[in-house]
Amino acid sequence: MPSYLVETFLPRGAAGERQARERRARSAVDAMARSGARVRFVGSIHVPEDEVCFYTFEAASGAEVVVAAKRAGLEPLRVVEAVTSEAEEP
Amino acid sequence: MPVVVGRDEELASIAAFVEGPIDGPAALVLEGEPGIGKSALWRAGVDLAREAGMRVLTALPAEAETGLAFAGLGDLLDGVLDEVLPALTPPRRQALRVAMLRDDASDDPVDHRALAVAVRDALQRLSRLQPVLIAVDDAPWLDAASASALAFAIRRLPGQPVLLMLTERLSRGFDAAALEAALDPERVRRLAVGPLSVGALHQLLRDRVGGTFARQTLLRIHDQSGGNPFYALELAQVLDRNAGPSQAIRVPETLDELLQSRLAGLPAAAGEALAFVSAFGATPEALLERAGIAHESLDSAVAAHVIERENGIVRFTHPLLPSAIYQHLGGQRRQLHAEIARLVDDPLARARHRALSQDLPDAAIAAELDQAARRASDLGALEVAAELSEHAARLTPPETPGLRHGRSLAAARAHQAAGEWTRARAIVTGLLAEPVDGSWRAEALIQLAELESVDRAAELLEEALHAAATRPDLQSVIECRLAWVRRFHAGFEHARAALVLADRLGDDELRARARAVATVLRWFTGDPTSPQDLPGLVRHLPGALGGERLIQEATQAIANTFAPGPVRDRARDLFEAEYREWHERDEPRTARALWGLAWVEFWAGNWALAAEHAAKAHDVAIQYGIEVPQDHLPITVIAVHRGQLELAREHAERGLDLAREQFGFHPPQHLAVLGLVAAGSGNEPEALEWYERAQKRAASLGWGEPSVRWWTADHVELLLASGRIDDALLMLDIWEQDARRVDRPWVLADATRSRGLAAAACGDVEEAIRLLAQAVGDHEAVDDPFGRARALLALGTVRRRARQKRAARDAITAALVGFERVGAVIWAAKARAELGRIGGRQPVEGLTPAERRVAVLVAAGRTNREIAAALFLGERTVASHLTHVYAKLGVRSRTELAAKVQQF
Repeated sequence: MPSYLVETFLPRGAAGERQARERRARSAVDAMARSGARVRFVGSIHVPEDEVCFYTFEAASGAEVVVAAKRAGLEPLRVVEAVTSEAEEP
Repeated sequence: MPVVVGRDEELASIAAFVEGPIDGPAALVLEGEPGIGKSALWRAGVDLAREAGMRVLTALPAEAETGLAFAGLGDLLDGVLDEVLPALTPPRRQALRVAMLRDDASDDPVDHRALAVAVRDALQRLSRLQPVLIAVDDAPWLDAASASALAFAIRRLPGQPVLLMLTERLSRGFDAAALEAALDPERVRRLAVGPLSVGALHQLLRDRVGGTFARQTLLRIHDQSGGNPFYALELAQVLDRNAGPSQAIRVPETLDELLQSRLAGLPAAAGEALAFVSAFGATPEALLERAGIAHESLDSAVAAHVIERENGIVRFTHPLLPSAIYQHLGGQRRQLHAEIARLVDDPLARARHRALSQDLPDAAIAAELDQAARRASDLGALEVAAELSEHAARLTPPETPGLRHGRSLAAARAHQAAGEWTRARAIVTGLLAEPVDGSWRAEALIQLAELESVDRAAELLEEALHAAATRPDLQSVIECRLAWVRRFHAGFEHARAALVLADRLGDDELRARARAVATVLRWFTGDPTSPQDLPGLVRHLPGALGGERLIQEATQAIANTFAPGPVRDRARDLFEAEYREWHERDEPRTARALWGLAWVEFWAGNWALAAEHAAKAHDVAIQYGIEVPQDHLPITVIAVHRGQLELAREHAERGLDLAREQFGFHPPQHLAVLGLVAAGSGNEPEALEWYERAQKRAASLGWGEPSVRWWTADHVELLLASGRIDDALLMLDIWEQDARRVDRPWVLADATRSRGLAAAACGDVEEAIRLLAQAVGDHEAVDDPFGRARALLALGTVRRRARQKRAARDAITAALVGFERVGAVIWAAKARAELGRIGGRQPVEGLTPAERRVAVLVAAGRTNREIAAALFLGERTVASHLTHVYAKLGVRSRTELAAKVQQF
């Protein structure tokens, strides 16, 4: 499934909020999965200097990621498709 | 409250500031580059303060409004004025009403100090009901008159729950706000508002502009704007947010360029309206209508968030916008100001815009500005008066140099009155560099002399005297000033010259001034023909010496003449009346009245009250920046006598330093108090040295007035104690002769006491006892309780040495009671030491210290309750002490006790 990055603003003083958002993201995708949506929460990448946190999802479409992000209260700045690759075995 | 993005830490700091405990005025300064988001944080801070239950007073001054007198104060007090006015005393209420344009200045000009005190009272009243936050956005733009009044008020609200929240730009050439300078640096917290992060900027753009940005574009915006939200928002408006990475984007080089391109996008009619508002400041829509600017022409600018409308006032959404417009107006600027001048009702605003509309000299406009400057001065807006006077001078045609010079001098005087001495000096110096004719040159030199040190002032006044060769009236004025500047040296000749000139002109006012100067100087020389109506004469001194100056020497002359002795109440009434008169209108004048009262109460033996008056006088002088060396004299003298030697030394040394700074030398009294301190510390050789220096200095200055050489009795005593009897007698002869010549009975009482000691030193016990007993009576006759106690101690000591134990004990005990009554700690210890040398028991001496204190107060007529309060005892304890006192002294009533105590 394609991957998507959800870009959010995470203020410096609220770094602890990252995990709370992750929990909400997992709950959101679990709830969506129960109603048949194909969306999975992968993890997050926090860039403290920019006060930005990216949440990575896999889903059939960007629209589903937008729904999941909103349900999780992530207040996305942007949702963009991303290409990831696993590190190759030597 | 609109959300402020990316400022959580700053908001937390602001919340801590407004919600924390308040122990007196403090400031939080939000500082940062233009456009960085200070105003947004400021608005959030205002909301936080309101939610925390504070009363918030706000002002958003614009650059165009800096010349409007009290515009800022009007904004701050808008909404509370009707609440505070009734609580003010009439002079202060009127001053505030006039400044807020609710009343005309009419016949009495507004004293700017009365106004400043009114502002203090208003803030005090408000802060008693709830904590107050004074919030000013772009504080350096606050008009000088408002800033001055507020700074004065804030310095005088110690412990009151008043906070300030200010924003200040960090950019070259931008001075810190005058308000901030009103507080000690440790009461000012600075909060640096820095750039937003990429994430925060993106959030901001999304909230304000809508939509999102490609990361590449966002990063370029962040980079170009430096994280400055205002700049970033402007950039976001002109950039293609979805530009691909390979697409070239022309990003404006500077913020100014960016703003210009944004404003250029508006219709011409909107541009005209914006130009008007940039030149005027926050503009009523009614004024724009009168200017022929249609209401609808603003719509596009409102839609573009360049301006906003609120309660019928149009203002820019950000202070950078009017600057950007105004700077580029070019020649249109003058026409705009001329148009505004035609439309506004307020005469000061009209005058100011007329001035700004004019580059070339114009006699009519210059005259109008001159008049407006006087009006501003009447309103107490000295800074505005100074600015208008300078414009008036600038626009006065060169064919009328006299008018121009006069207006320049008026500007210099207004700047000086507003405390801007550097600018005042620059104007006068500039004037003197021109070919100015005699009379104007003399006036400029007189003005400059007021701004310079004493030595330089004398030189300038001498030059002025020559320049005023054809103006005997001006020469009389200059001679008065020279008399004062040279008062420690050759002042009297100048005073005499001033009087001769005044007589020749037949000018009563000049004559009165010259007489006032001459009278005070003659008083110091001990001239027996000095007029007796000192108070009546000295009121002309301020006029003689240039403005409302506070003349210490005159107060001393009055205090020394009337305060010791039977006419003391006259001095007390005089100073108390002066205090009452000036307390509401002009606090600095009260400092001199308090200084005089300090001496009155010192001689009356009310030393605690005297110390209070002296401390308060000094405090007022410090607050108003008018501290003089003499401020420290009564504090030192009283402190030494009360045994507070460290305090005395501190003030004696400070007085000496100030004298060096302000006079260029050490006057006699300032040397003598150091002798007093040394004597009090038991260092007699050092005390003698200081007294000798003081005597030499007094002789060199021609100080024939004996009361200003008050240390002479102490000096004589030390000389006698060190065996220098001839020196002591010589000094005493001169002093006594001076005292007889000018009729100073209290000095004569001191002299008699000293003569008694001299007789004792010469071994003539009988004569010593006779003279000392006479001194006791003389001191009593002039109501000098401390002097009386000293005479009694001296008498007792002589009697002890003559083995007249009982009489010695009686005298010394009476001295001890006298010393204790006034609080003369060191002298009381001396008396006890003498009593100890006598041995045996004496009824009063048999009382414990506590019993003695109670006995003294009963003899003074106090009730048990009053005694309990005075001595911090319970009433039962007082009653118990009294029972013991009755038993030990063999008395049965308060009357008998009083008689017993009075016997000594």
